[in-house]
Amino acid sequence: MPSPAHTPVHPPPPAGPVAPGTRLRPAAVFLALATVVALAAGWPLVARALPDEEGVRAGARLTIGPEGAGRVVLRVRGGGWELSRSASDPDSGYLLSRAGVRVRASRVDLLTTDAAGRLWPGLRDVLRASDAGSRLGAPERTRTTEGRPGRTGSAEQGGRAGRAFAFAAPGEDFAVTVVVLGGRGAEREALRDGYALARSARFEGGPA
Amino acid sequence: MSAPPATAPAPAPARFREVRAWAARRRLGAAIVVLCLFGLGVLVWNFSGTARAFPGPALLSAFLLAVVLYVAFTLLRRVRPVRTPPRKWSWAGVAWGATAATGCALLANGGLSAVWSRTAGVDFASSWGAALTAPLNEEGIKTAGIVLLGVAFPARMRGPLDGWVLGALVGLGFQMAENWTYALNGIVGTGGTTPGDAALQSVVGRVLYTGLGSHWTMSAVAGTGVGLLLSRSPGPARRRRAGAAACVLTAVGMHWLFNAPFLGGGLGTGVKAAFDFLVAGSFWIVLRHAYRHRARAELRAPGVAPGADRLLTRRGRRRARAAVPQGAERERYARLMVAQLDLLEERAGTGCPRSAFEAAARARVAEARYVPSGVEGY
Repeated sequence: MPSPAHTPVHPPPPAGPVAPGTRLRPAAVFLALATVVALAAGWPLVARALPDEEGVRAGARLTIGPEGAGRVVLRVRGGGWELSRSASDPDSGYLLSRAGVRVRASRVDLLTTDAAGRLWPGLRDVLRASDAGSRLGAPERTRTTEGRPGRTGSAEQGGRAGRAFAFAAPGEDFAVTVVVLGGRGAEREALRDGYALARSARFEGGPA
Repeated sequence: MSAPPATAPAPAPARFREVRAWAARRRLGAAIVVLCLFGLGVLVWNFSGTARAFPGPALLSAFLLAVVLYVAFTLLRRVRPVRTPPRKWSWAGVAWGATAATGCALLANGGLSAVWSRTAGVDFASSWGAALTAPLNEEGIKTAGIVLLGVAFPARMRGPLDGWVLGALVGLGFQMAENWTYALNGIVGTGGTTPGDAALQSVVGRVLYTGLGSHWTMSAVAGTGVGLLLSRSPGPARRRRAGAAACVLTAVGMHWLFNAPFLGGGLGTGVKAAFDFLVAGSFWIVLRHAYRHRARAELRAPGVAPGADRLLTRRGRRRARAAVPQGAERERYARLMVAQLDLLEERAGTGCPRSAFEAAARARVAEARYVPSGVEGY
């Protein structure tokens, strides 16, 4: 049978290299490895050298939610709060701190009509996702300063204790959760201002 | 002190270079494995808590994405003309994308996003952060992996077409790992209220809606540049480098467009995905056409037996093999066919074969064709 591509060769060929010994292209390898290291280690180092905290004045409005979708507005109570710029995004939420107290406010999308009823157990699972030792107490009824009903309860995470709040928007298509936690030596007044910030939630817009 | 020998042993520089290159490639392979494990560690560190808190949706999304990965992996390998690339090489690309690239990009994106929000403010970072962060970091790290794998497996990187395929596979791995992290983030973004629905919605949207025009397209274009850079091709090296840089910049531009805040609605995102798909598809059409053209020209060269163009298609090769009697003879014929394809593909890669690889392929053809005297050969 004829070979598809070449004429037959009968004497054995001289032993040739099975895998050719090409050089490793050290410049390409160096450039590639340097790119990975520079990007993965360089940017975090540059970010560390920059200040993260931004002062927030008393009475400032924090709007959470993308344009065109439902938004929630929180009003800052008391002075001295600092916003973590790297952990905040107007579309999804803010992280504030003051005198040992941390406030994490997050906008939550509710995909189904009955999702609002699962806000509290959902928040418990979300807290456990970032710290398996987190605890969320039994929910109690509460209201925003505008009278919107919600849930509140004790919360513990990473050696900090405080309260968590959850309020669904009137159309129940989105919600806001606020977790206020204070470490040892946290100012009680800052905790109270954090709780007041959570209760200041006011809902705007939304498809419903 | 002893005197040096009067007559030095015969030098074997070629063999020495071979061994040295083999050892260097082993070290490079180890470095790639270490980076993949590091990236996997970063992913586990960042997402194991969410996966533990929501095990069902995490497993469901991982399973669905694994199925999609396998289907897309098969398709992307099959679109390579003449032969599908080797499995090991292909999985190495997917593994880099899914572990090293995703994990390292997570660190890099976190750092650069923080730089934007700390210098330009949270509003700017929210609007433009993704467009100014991901294209640079993710394309940079994915492309670095294509370069490392191209150097570690030099026999497989014959030209820009192989770069396109490897890039697409690296991007596919990245895309699937990123989709999984988005599914978990989607659960948190819905407050853990409907974890199954959130994960499913994220996976379905990212597979069916944007999946056709996401990471695999960008990395395929960047990989074309790497293939151009690492292979031999006619023309000056400066032109090859410029072509490679243009490909990588095109990939960065595609990613930038995809992440840019304008045209951000459902329709706009679809248009962007379709555009990226068309760009990568155009690259593939041009590369495939040029590759098949060169391969056909090789098989029409003087001295090549008539009917050799059967080698070009999988069906043709199957038929040619079936025509040989079963048993040792067919096995020997299959070995010869593989060796001939290695030679053909080396020559068709860019039309400017690398001499060492061509010589090795010719030696394998000759070896496969050798039969002891008295036995009928091909």
